Amino acid sequence: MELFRYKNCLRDCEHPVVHNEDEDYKFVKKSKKYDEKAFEFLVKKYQQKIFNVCYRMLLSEQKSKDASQEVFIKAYIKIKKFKGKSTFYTWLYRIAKNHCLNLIKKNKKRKEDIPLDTDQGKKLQNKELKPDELIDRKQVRKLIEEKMKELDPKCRAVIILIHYQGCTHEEAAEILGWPIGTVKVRLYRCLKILGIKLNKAKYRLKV
Amino acid sequence: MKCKEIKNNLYDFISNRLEEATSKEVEEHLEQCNECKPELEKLKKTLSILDHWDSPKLNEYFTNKVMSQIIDIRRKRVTIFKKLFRPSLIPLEAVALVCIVFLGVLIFRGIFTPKVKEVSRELKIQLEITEAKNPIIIETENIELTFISMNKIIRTHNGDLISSKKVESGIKIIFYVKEEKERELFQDLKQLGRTQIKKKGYKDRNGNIVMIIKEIPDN
Repeated sequence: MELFRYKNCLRDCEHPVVHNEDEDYKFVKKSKKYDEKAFEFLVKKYQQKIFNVCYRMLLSEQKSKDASQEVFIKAYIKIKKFKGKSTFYTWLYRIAKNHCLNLIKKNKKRKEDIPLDTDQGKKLQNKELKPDELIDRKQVRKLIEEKMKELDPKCRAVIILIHYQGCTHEEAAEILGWPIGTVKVRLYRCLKILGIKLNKAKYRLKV
Repeated sequence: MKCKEIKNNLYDFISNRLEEATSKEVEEHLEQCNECKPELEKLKKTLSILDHWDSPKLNEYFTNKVMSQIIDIRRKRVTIFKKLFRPSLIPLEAVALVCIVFLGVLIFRGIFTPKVKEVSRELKIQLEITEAKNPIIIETENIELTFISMNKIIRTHNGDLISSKKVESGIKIIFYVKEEKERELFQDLKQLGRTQIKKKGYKDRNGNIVMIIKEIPDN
């Protein structure tokens, strides 16, 4: 029963997404000739997905909005270099991943931490959770963000791409530039580390 | 499959990504293995928590924002391209005229400079030698005799014969004598025949005296 619940859950979440590659290819071809309408179609199609990746990587709504805009602009500028060896969306994800990792690196150099969005998050950080305390969905979100932030950015990227974006291992391998075996191993390891971090906090979920 | 492999496949097992045969193999292993089963439970728990993390929805203005930036970029590119060909402060005709004149000068120099270079050294020397505007002219009946006695006269005044050449009208002689002895020499010349000496212009650039011995015309 539980297994069934998970299968359903993943389907009910954002993904797996059905990507129509032929359709993309047609619009990419037009975009290469600077057809803005064609590119607008691609932006509309993938904006939420790219934003989701950026949001979960950067853990800030405003920063991820700016980042996803920059990702699309980069894609537009570089679209002539896209040879069609991979699908358009894996190419787009790769740009997003690289952009986010660069931003995180820059942020680290400036020794600024990525701030959590609202004050609530900060409160949660400071407040010790009591055993078996009931927390609502919003608080869980903050807790996950807090723990995700502690993870290595590349670790975060694997989980985001496979679990949240519904990419296959092959696609994730292409986006991250790792062998498929490495993707599998690292996904398991990263989820384990995250699980340990999450389970350390003692709470009970409000259903 | 070993436990390590099973663990690496746990996520795929939970999310139903495995092929049926592999999935069954994992399921059978999990029923027996005390090490892997708790791992499955832990992972399920982690994933159940992670499912609570949804990201905000983008508003409708996002596309417009992106597209307006892209159109800006495109416009900038186009204007840079246009600027190159648009008549700006300086009219295109003027720029073209300057270019043509400049090219003209280049071509003109290209055509004429090599010719100057081609003039040989000998010719140059000859040109310099014959520069004398009014050479001394002696008209005699016998050119050759006059030439021999001319040689003697030059020698007696300690001069040097530099060159002698047959010309259409007679023989051209170039010689050098010290300035103090020029007058004496000229007086001796008068004995040779009819002489025409002008006040200036009988010397070339190097200070040598130029002289032409001619035959007296019959008439």
